[in-house]
Amino acid sequence: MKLMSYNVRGLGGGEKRVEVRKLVSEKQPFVLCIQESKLEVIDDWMIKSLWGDAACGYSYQPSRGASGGLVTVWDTSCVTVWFTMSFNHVLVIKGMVNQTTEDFIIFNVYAPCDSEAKRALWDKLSPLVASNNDVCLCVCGDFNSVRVPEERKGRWTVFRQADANLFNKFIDDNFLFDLPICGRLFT
Amino acid sequence: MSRLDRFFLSEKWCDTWHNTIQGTHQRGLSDHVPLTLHVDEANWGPRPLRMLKCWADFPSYEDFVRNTWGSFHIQGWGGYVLRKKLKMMKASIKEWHHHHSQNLNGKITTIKNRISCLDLKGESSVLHDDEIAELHELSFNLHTLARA
Repeated sequence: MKLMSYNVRGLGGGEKRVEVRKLVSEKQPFVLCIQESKLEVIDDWMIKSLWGDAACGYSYQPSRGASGGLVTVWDTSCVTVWFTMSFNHVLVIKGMVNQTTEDFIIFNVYAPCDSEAKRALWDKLSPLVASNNDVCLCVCGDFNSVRVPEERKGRWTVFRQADANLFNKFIDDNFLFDLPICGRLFT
Repeated sequence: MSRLDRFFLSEKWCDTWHNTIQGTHQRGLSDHVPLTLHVDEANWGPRPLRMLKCWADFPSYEDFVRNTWGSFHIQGWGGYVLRKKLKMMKASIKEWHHHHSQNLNGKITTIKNRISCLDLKGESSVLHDDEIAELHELSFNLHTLARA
């Protein structure tokens, strides 16, 4: 199972799509999760510019004006998706890995910056994650939150303990595994 | 700089796809880094122990390993004991390797020299029992080394 997650900061520019296209052909993920498409409409042509000619399926959440927007694309030769669902800041796909028939569920998340809105998002996500804990579940994306002060560095970033506490509670309450990151410390 | 993007996984995911690795890629046009989640089947970290196939050709090897392994007494939880024992085993094997399978050609030459020395002695006089025993042992060792 191979996934890719990328906050692309807008797919409108052709150069961004070329970049994603390169990443996809290089890494060949089964599923690609994009945050901040900043596009209100995604069509087959747009997906083709990201994924190429290979067979794929996709689901998306339109941006609100120029902010947000989620896109999830999957390789239909590797996975079968039978359910997609979208709500504020989250795009869900549910399906099966073709080769092993293993069920999976993937949450593509673009969390808001505002603390209250984040709290609402964790509250909304929690029961959904909890009720799917017995399947192969992945919550990925841009969480706009960090767990510990060490995950933020620099003059322009502020660490808020209260935000981190809520984020950690969401992770711990739902028994989610936070993998170590390879290659660099910041994303 | 912050670590805002990540993958969270359920226990079932980790159990199904062992050795899942979260990787990062070069920052491109976005101010975020693309992340990948993939299963690295080949990468199990550094090897705790290594074995050369030729060691098994020495008849004494198996006993050596069994006895050495049994002679370690470590206290603690299982994982710790295993790690410590493997580490000590590595040192013992290194020593054993030095005496047994290192410099095979040199050892073979030494044995051959000793054999021809005893052979010559046998031509001119009768060999003692212990010399005959030594000859047998040398010839056995020669065969073992030649196979290794």
